Amino acid sequence: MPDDWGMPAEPIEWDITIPTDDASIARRRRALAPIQVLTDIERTKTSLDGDYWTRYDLFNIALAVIDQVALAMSISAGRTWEETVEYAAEQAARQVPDADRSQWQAVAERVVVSLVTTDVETVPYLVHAASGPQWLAQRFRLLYVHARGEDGSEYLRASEQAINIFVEALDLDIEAAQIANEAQLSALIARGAVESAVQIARHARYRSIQYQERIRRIVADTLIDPDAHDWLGDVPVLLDGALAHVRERLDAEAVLLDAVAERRCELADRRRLDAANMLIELLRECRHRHDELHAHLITARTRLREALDDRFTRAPHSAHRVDLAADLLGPYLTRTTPECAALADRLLAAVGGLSARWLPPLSVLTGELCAPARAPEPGEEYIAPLFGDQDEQEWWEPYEDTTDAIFEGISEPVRLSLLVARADQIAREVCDADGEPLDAGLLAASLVHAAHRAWAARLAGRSAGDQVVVAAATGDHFDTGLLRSADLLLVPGTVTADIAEPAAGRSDATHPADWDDEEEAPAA
Amino acid sequence: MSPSSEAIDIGRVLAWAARPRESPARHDEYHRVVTRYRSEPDFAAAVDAVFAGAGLSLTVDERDGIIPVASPDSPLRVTVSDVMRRAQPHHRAAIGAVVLAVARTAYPEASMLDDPDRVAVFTTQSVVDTLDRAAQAHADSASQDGALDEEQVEAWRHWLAVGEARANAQRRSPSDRPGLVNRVCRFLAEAGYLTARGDTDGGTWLARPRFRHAVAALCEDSDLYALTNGLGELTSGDGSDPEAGFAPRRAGSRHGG
Repeated sequence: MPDDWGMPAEPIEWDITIPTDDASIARRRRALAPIQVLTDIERTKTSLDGDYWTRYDLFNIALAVIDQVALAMSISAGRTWEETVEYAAEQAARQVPDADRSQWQAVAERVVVSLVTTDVETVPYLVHAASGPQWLAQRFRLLYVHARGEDGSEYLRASEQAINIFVEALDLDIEAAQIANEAQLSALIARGAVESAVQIARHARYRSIQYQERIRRIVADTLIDPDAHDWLGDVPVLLDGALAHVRERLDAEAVLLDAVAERRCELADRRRLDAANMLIELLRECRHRHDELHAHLITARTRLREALDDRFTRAPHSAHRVDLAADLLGPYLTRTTPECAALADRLLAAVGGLSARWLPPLSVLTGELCAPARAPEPGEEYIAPLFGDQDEQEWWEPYEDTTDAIFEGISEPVRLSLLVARADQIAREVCDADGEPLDAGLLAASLVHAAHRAWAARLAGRSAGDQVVVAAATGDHFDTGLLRSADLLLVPGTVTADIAEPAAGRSDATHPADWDDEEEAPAA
Repeated sequence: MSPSSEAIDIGRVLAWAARPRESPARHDEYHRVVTRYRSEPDFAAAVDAVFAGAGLSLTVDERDGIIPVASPDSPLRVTVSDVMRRAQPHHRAAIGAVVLAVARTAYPEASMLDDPDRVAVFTTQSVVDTLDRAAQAHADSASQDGALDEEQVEAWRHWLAVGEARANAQRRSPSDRPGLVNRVCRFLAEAGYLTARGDTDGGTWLARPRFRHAVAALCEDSDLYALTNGLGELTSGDGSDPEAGFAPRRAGSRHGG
């Protein structure tokens, strides 16, 4: 994660012409990139499935979502995924009230997913180095999922870059801006301009959130890799500076609160009174944030020390790691098919977990399947059921297809025993999906079943001209050793007149063979 | 602690290792065995030995729980057949490529594997794009057509031969690229590494924190690196000899969190 907030190291020059390799240009180029993402969300919407996208302004929804997430942030929490999507769907509903819920949901998901997946790709940009133009890659995120909370709960949080969009400042020292804000605030309050003070306080709130996010990120980076920051020099200075900052802000906010409360007593105007109340509310929230930040900073030292202790006992980079793209994915794609097939098993063994599918007894499984749905406990993670939608053939489909083909090929009356006798030969000639010949016994069984269905052929709902096969009992029996069945005579026929469906609800007393009922699909 | 309590706790470690959706924070019992593993080196060594016998190595993290990584010949490993029944060799090759592409898309930078807070969110489309780009890079530098012999065709040609998404398809089938990616992602979700989050861009997936431990194990597997880069002999991957000794590839690591 590149740090946007480093102090400018280059000397400031008062030159009128700003060359493109000026550091502030490069910094602004980087700071503007998040806005490009928002523009892209809006610009590419026409290429999405569905014709409703032009009715929504995705840019607005995205801004509202970032705002909502940023305001809900504290050191450890944010807004959950579901809450955020729900909020975005509400905003979509405000834009197009006459659409349906699934459409709002699709719009909401599109916006949230677009904001969360920004760091999958890098954004290339050009800088001018001493050696000439040079391409660099920037990776940033707007919203990100944060797995904090001791129970592993996940929250969406807004990044510094995202909050920056709201602060309207693209090249900014947050602490200096904060002090300037407070000076402005006290001046405005002293003059009684409470409404303007509310605006400034709103602004100051974003700065507080931004500061909080920056500190959190630095502490988190240090916990991952203590060498990421200079422990002897920079980190203590930074923490001291941050603590001093928070203490000053807390004092300043207390003074401001008193000042506003004092002015409020003198206000008679209803509107300004409301504004003053709102200002107090905002200042209280800022103070709460600073309290939290203060507590976080105080414990940060202990946590950093623990991380360092941990590092001494077990080195985190004890094993060499290869690069996923350059060392694994790239070379993998150049291997031949059998090599890859063997490697694929190896890969799945590593990331597939355990294949321990301990199957419950059938009685337990049946009981669980028939039990009413269990209401999830509060806070329990909801896992949507996964359904496998597979296009693969089931094993019996080749048998049914073959049987259907045989029946379609019947052009003159034929005995079932004759068809069964030919099953051996047909089974040898037909292959299933794997190229294996069919099993003759199974094919014979399939033929017998189909013939008995034809015995009770369903004629209702057929129209004139349909080809059907009907079966009639001959009174004979046959026994192949594997099969023992009544020998049916299969007769091809043509429906000569439309046959209406029987009226619904009629009890079917005239059904030819009621033992065969369940074999018949309602609209065969 | 008496030796018998140690044996019981090893059994508990096994039980929790098979419950990838649970976390130590939600169960006192789980939390206790994780803490014991991390604080008692003797207990950890005993657990590692038992799991090594089953061809498993463990990563134990205070927050993310117990993440088992199976060795290529462990009887408890999952195989390509668990993802796709009766997969042909070129299907298998494509599935392996998708696994790597999912890992790459979730963790585009190596340092992200060390970030305990990172919860990657990615879409099916972004995995397809990652693989398309990697395969296209090979296609651009290839000077001739693929070999006639099916066995000699490189994996990237197989991937490019997989159909692109059908427009407005109501359901995805593994015969197109997004469908194949979704098949693998659904499998990883079942294994507790991903969580499905909606259908945007062919499917949105959230990589749970424990996925980074498994991917890190993948990146630390030097045999895998050697095989992928053609530096070693490929042994039969079908595990036809499960009785062979499974050497643990790495000692159980206890860092993280």
